[in-house]
Amino acid sequence: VRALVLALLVVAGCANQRHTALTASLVTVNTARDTFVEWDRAHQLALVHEATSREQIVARLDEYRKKREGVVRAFAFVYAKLAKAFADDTEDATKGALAVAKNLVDTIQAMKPGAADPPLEQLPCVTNREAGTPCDL
Amino acid sequence: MSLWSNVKKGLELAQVCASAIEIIHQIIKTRPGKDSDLVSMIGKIVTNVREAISGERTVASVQADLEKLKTDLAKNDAAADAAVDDKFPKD
Repeated sequence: VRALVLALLVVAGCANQRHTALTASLVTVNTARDTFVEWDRAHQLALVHEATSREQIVARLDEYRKKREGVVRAFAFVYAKLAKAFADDTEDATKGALAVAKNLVDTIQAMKPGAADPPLEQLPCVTNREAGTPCDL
Repeated sequence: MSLWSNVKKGLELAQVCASAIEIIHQIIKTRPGKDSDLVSMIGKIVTNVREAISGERTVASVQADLEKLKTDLAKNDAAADAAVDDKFPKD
């Protein structure tokens, strides 16, 4: 009976640890989201500042916003992985979610003010995928 | 709520807050001299922590986190478009 109680406590402890890790990860992803929003605003305004004609800036903003869809898709993928991990509450789902979340957060944090467009190739769920194609969860 | 539940909740809060403080530290290190931005970002982190520790995370609540990204980017687009109109007025 003691062994069973101990096992239950271990399982409960692990489950709580998973939940804590996922919650902490969600905080970092939301902070990365807010950081990216701030970067995006400064980036677009800097593009406007540098522009020499209306036609040029309209085309440049259009090009940038199409690229930015890749970042939004990466966030959507990470949020979906986190939601699935919260729901599944398994070791594998948690590890997978934490890994893609870390990838996204590291990439966003590395973006400096005044940098070029986002490094899409480093984001999860972007490389070698057509726009609109859902990633595997 | 039992003592054990309080202790568990406290530990969970401490870990989440520690994570947030680590992020703040990273921001201070990488963005010196940006006081107003820093204060704004710390405020957002605090909000994120509060939201994360209040209530259960569901598919719907995580979806709301994504919708906030889309809404904020749309606001940025509007601000940039307005700046274009200011700089290059339409005929």
